[in-house]
Amino acid sequence: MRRFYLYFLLLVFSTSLASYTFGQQQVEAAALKSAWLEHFTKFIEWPNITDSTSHFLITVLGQDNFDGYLDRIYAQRKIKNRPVLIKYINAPEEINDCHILFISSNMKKHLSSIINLVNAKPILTVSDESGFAEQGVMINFYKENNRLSFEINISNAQSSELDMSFRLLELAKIVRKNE
Amino acid sequence: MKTIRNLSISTKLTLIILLVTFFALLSGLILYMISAVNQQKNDFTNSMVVNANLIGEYSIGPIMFDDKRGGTDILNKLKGIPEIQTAYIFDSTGNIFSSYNTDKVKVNGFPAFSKDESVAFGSSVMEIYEPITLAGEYYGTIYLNVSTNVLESKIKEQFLLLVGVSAGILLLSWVFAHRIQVLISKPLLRLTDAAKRVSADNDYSVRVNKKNNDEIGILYDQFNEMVKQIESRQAQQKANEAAIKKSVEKYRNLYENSQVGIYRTDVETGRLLEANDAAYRILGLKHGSKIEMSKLYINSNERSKIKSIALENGYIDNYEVKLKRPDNKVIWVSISGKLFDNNQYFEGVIHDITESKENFINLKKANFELDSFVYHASHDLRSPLLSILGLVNLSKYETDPEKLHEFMAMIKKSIQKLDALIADLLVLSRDNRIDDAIQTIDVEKQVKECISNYDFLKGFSKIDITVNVEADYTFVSDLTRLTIILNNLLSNAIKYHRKDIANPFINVSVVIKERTCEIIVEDNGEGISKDDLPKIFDMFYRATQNSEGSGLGLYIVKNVIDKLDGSIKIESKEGEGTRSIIILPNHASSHKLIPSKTTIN
Repeated sequence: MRRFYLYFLLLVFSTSLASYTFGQQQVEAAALKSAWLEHFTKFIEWPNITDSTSHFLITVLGQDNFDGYLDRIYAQRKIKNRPVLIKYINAPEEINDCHILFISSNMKKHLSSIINLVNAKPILTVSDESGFAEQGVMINFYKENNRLSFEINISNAQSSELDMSFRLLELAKIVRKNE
Repeated sequence: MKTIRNLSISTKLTLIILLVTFFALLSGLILYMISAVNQQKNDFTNSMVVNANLIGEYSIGPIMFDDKRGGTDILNKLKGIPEIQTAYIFDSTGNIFSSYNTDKVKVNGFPAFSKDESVAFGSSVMEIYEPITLAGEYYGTIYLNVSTNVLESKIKEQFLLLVGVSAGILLLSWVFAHRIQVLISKPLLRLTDAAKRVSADNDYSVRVNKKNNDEIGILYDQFNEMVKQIESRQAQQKANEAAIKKSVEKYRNLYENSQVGIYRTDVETGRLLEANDAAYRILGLKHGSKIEMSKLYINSNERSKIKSIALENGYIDNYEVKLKRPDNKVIWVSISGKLFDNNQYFEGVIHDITESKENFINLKKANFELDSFVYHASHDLRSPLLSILGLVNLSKYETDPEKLHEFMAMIKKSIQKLDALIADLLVLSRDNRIDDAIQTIDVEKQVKECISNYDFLKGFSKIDITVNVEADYTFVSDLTRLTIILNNLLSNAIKYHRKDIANPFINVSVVIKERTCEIIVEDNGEGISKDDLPKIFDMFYRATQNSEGSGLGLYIVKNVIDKLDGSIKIESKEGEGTRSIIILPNHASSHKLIPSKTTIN
């Protein structure tokens, strides 16, 4: 019930409020992106999530663009039926085992090294900067016709240990890694 | 039901087979259609639910990421399923997320929102609500509006196909039934034909040829056996009938051709029930007459007499009864017979015994006559002999020659009398025994000769004798007998003329006709008294004491005339005269005939 309530709230944000003030739009986009992270997990299986896994780990690398929505949403919400732990780091070196790694746009310089670092691991990489997907981030948010969308780097998604549902792929714009 | 019953067996069998096939097909068809319809409906529903599920699965992402175009894209994939007319994706709040409808269908309004899974059928339409869930979380609902026209037409098509196949099977089974029923109906029809032939032509030599060993085969055997028995019985019956017919004919002939009358009467009424020809002839009745027998009896109480005898003994033996027939002929019959059927009927034989009865009466008369003759003859023969004996005894003691001479004369007279009597007796005997040949007679000559024979008699010369003959035809008869008649009549007329009158006469008149000869002798002599007149033809009857005759004269005349089939009538008045009329048959026209009256014994 509670979840529905939240959804309701989210939808209210996403459909009505978000449409006419820029500031509000920004806020609303941050909330949407925070919510979508959970949505992505519905279509993705992590091989390292087992019965002994106690928490679902989200690591935000670099500048936090979620305006605190992430903490607020996942304070109550569970992902994969587990409580969510959110860690904010600023250096690629700090990257440890997590389930979702959000790479901020200010990590552009380190992107390839970050990708290389996590590529072999069952970590879903998410970003919000155009061109990031082409460089190896699995899911990248972008705006199209004033509407939030996402693109998926199919090459990286496929090469990773993650099992990504084709239904997610259908919803995304598919990009391939630049060779 | 009666029309069905009157159908031929082959039609009935065909009908039965067809009916069974029809109902088997019908029940199969119905069962199959029910299960097929259910199956198809289930399949159809299931496939549509699966479609809804799939669409729901695919819609989760678009709903999650608010990708309405993606939702529309997914719904547009439904174009491949033409039965789905409209489809909606509701989000979890009941708002329409995406919609789809085929070009063909116009959608009026929107379907109601429901979170619950349901399948509902409307008219040619199925509505499916399928919730969209993922990992137990509700995201929205898929609504499908599916046309069931295809399903219905499919079912209809299938139904028509099945009906067609059934009709085909029915047709085939008709053909088979038609072939198969022959197995049963043909032997039966053969039997029917045989039975028809037997009854129509009475031909019991008909046999049916057995081919199977089933119940019909047994029926054939029984039929053959039955017909065989009938045939042999019929042959037996024919033989019996022929024997009976022969026997009946034999007895009928015996009955009908019998000279003895056989008849049958009802005891209660005395009515004649049936009789053979002889009985009718004897009784003088028309053939088939049902007269009451008692009406024929002359003595009316004979019936009760016969009845009481019959009831007492149970039979009648030679009961003689005198009858008067309807033609007034009086006859004597003898009846013998028995009672039958609890004394209801009398069956008897009847003899006409009239002749023997007459013969018996004649015999009695003859016997009486013989007695009387012996008495009179012995008396008349004895009396001259006794007078002669007396005269002889007297003459022993008489010496006077005169007296003796007188005695002798008296003896002579007695002897002459005796001789005359014996002569008469000879004539009589002769008349009874001998038939002389007939010849042409000159009656006038005979009369005159006869008269001249008596000219010696006393007073002859005084009598005026006239003879008148009218002879238009010749007269043929027995001369001897005619002479006897003439002699007796003329001698009587001469002998008994009256001596005291002055003109005694005798008139003899003869008229000869073609078939008769009438002789009338008339005199004015003594005549005969009224008392004597009926007895004058009796034997030995003498009318007068002073008669010298034998008393046989007129008896002989009567006998002779009877012999000649003639008739005599004597009219007389005492003291006035006598007239004798004799009519004799003239045999001139049938010359060769001899009067044929046999001698009475």
